[in-house]
Amino acid sequence: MSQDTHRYQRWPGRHRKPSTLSGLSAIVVTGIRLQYNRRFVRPLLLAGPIAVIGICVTLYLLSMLEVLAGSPEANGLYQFASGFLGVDLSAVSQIGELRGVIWRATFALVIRIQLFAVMVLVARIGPGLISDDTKVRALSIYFAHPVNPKSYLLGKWIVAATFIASVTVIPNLLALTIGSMITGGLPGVGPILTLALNIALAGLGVMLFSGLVMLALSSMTSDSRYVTVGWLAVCLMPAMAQGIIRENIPSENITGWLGSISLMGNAAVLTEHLFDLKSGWQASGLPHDAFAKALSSPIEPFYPAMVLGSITLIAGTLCYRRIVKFSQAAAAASNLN
Amino acid sequence: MDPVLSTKSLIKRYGRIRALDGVDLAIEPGVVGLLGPNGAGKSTLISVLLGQTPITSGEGSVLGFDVGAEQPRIRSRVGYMPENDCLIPGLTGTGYVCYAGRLAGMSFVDAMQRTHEVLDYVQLDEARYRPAQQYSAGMKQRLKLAQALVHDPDLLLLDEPTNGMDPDGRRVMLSLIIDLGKAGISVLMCSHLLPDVEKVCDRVVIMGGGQVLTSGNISDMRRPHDTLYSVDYVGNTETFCHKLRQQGISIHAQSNGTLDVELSRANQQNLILSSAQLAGTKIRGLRPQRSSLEQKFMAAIRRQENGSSPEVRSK
Repeated sequence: MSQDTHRYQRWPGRHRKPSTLSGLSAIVVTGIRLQYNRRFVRPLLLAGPIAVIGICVTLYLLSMLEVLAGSPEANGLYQFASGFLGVDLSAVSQIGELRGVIWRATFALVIRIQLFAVMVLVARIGPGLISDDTKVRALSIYFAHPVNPKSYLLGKWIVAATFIASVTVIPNLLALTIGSMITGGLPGVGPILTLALNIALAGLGVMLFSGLVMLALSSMTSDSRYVTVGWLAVCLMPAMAQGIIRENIPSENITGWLGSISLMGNAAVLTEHLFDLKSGWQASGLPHDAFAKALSSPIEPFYPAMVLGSITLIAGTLCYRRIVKFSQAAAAASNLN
Repeated sequence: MDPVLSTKSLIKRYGRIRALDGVDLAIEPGVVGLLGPNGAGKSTLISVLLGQTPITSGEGSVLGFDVGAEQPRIRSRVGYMPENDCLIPGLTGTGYVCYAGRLAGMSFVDAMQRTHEVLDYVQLDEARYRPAQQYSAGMKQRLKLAQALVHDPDLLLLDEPTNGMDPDGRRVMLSLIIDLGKAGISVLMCSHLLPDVEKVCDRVVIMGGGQVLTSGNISDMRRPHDTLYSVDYVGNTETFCHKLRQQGISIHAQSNGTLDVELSRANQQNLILSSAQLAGTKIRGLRPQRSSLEQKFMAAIRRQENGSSPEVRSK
């Protein structure tokens, strides 16, 4: 159509009062759609359904074990479980009484495994969240609309958190629901709700830490490859350093800050305390050293909490300051970076 | 008529540097060109008007809303077309414009409907379903215009809208801007391409060193001079020039059979004629010169450079 025959038509619709929520929802929906369409993201999201199936099968097998308890058929299963956990389960008279503890331990272990899935998934979806916008100078589009730095940052965090939740909290809660249905669940509603709350809290912690650290890294450079390298370094290097320390220093001396270097290890310690595995184990009558051998770490939760909390806080502050700077320089695009 | 945009003693400092140094502006509805060399403060002014950058002192309002306190309202009624590509990777043309509409506060249905209207308007037909990053330079510029128009703003801020476009694309873009002005949308257009500004703008504001150097209607700026004349002649050039200088007339340029001269006062054309008579030169033509926007621009910049104090520097 030629320009001469095509005139601009004013929009007859009503202009709504500008709201933060509208811009926020646009950032979240579009961000999720863009990241979902990235290569390898969909296969990585399979970690969610795999976790659901894995947990449900485990819970079902445990319920079978309860049914067979005391029968000769169960001996083989007991021996297998003893070998797997490294704990002599013969001290447990009725495994059915330990269902609550076992379920908590199962979910705590699953969350530890899911941390690796989160690390890989965040390395895939996270680097471009802000750095792509800075690279193409798209921030001038955001901040020319009624979008403020807080809603921009919150929107980007929700995008990251949605993906993290899809391989942690959502499958875990789904597995808890299905597991309760196929096995009869825990005795009473209270323990199930407590377990669900613990799963949600653990997931929220992972979402806060991973999301904000990734956004902070993503806001520092416009090249997402550097962000990926930075993220993997943040995740893996402290664990390697912790490993070296463990090799060279007697384990009884690795306490406090010295034992809280590995971020993955810190997450594991906090999960263990959140799910209250220690008291559950004590209630079972199983030997305490077996607990230390199977699950525990001698680190008090204060130090890991401080390390992870401080990093999250610093990352959030840093990221917010960068976004504010970008928003002020958005029109004067030459000032970016 | 109420100004769409006004500032009073607007100052923006970055540390010791004054990016805006007491800007006083009152821009009425219409298509206005914002000119200035690099670092003149144009981008900072736009940033301040959009409420992105806090002002150091002074006042400003856009469409009647205060730039310091009512940023969301300003941004919801203003469309901004940045100079850079700023196309979000992975989005199609439709997705990009619809996203801009959603960011502006429109519902998804309204944003999508309006997206197709404005993409039709900027003549991005089937290309709208292709990834925007595959567009040509001209298509990208039109897509950026579409995203600035999607929420039907009352004021458009265009930063170098014809940047990187071929002559045909430029013609289309300029005709779109003229049409938008006719549709009642006020336009503030930053550009280094003075012929583009001359073609589409009613008025012009020239900035330099963070200040407004001059402003006015383009038609006034291109008014014939009453002291500058072009003289076509036949005869001895040296003698004619000598006689003109004796009468106090300055000679600016000299080419084959034509002189550009400047009278010391208006309405003294007879001095040129008498000089010619004394030199034995025949006058074939005598016409007042029209100044171009470029001459006005250069003159304003020169005045600013000669008169600026050392501490008044652009960012």
